[in-house]
Amino acid sequence: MEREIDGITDAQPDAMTEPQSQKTPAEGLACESHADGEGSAERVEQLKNENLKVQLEIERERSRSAQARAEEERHRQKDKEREDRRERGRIKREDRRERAERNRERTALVGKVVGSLPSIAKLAIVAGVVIAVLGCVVGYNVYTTSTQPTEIVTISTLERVVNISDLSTARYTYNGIAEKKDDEGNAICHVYYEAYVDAGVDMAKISFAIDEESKTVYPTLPEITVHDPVVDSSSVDFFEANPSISLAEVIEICKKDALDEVRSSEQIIQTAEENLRSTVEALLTPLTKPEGYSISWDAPKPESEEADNAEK
Amino acid sequence: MRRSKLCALSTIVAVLSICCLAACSQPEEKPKPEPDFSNAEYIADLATLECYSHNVAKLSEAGSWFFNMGYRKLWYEYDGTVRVGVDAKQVVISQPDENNVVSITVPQAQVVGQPDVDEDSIVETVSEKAFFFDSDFSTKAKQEALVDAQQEMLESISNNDTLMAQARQRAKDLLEEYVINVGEVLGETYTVKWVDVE
Repeated sequence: MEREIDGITDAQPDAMTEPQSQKTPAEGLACESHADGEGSAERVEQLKNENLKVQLEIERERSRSAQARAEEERHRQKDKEREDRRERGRIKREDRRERAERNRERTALVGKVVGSLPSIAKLAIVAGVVIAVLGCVVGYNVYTTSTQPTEIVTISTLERVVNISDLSTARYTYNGIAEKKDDEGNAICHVYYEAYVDAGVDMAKISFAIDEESKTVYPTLPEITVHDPVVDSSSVDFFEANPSISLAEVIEICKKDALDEVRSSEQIIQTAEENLRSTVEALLTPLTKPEGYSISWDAPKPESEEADNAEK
Repeated sequence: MRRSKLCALSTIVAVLSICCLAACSQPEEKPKPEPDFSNAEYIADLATLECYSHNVAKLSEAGSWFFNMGYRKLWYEYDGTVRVGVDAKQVVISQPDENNVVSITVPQAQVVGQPDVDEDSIVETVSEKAFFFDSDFSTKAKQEALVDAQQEMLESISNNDTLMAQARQRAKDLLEEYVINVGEVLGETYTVKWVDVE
């Protein structure tokens, strides 16, 4: 083998041919075995690969046969199930046939017995059955349609009955005398006016307590609400002959006076309460009187006190 | 033959039982319960409205020609109560007709009894006279003024159409609720028809 480097021919000795002449026998053997070694390594590699391929093939074959066995097993299972189902169906059909046979025998027997009876007896049997059925039906009807006693005097019923908004308020007349005062607080002008005021409660807030033992109903009224008075400005009259006061001032002092008086007046509240009590009694009468209940405006006795009285 | 007999018997029994069932399924028409409206007068009494009023009584006497001597004037305030309602004895509630309509006769509202003046509430608010030596109003004069004030209150309330209408409406509302509640207790639904009495 020759190499040409920069025009200089560099003849390199051939590794295959040269070494024999230059190397030692040991070296030659080593070389030779090296050369043989390289070839056998390739061969070994080749063999290994072939071995691997064979093994893979064997593995594939094994798995294929396993799958085929599993498939076979499944088919066998299915066949077995089919067989079982057929067997069960057959058993059921046989049962049914036996039952039908028994029913036919029984019917025939009953028919024989009934047939042997006289007509009157047959009629009596049928009539008896019909009467029994009718009796059940009628009895059920009577039971379901019988009027059961209904509770009338209950708290919810009483609350519903009194909840009439039209009856919740009443109007009261308030005619008064308003004063205009000077800086020192002396009244310098007196004005007569007419006004009205409404007072009432929210009927829905009326509560009840019922004492079943003494058959007494205890209503409790909520607080009376007194609304702002309404002044009739055309009704004013002056005590003084020539009062030094404007109309606007007149109305202002009249309204203020009416408001102050109404708010401090207990009479309006008492009257409103009396009217409401009458209203509640009138509304409750149709429910309480027929049932023997009475209405009391006293506070109901607490349960502990009643229990103490009972113990004594 | 036997079969035909049995069929005939079965048919007869079936027809009989159907008839019996039909008869049983029709509930007996129970007679309508008669409502008891005996508490109508009591309800009408309860419907009477207590009318509180705060009033002003005015007294005045003109003076003479001599410097208006003897001139006196007095205003005083007092509380009073008047009862307004309908005459309960004239309230009539009929029995319900075939349509469950109940007729109620209600007279017009009126003042019931005499006005009640609360003497403890009398306050002499303002007074004046021409001369300091002029005498005040005598007690008798004040009493007469009070009677006049009561009369005036009575007339004022009687002529107060709003108040009269309120009192009558209250009586009507309570009587209507009374009739409806009586009906509910009996399981009936009544409607009310009003008959006015002039």
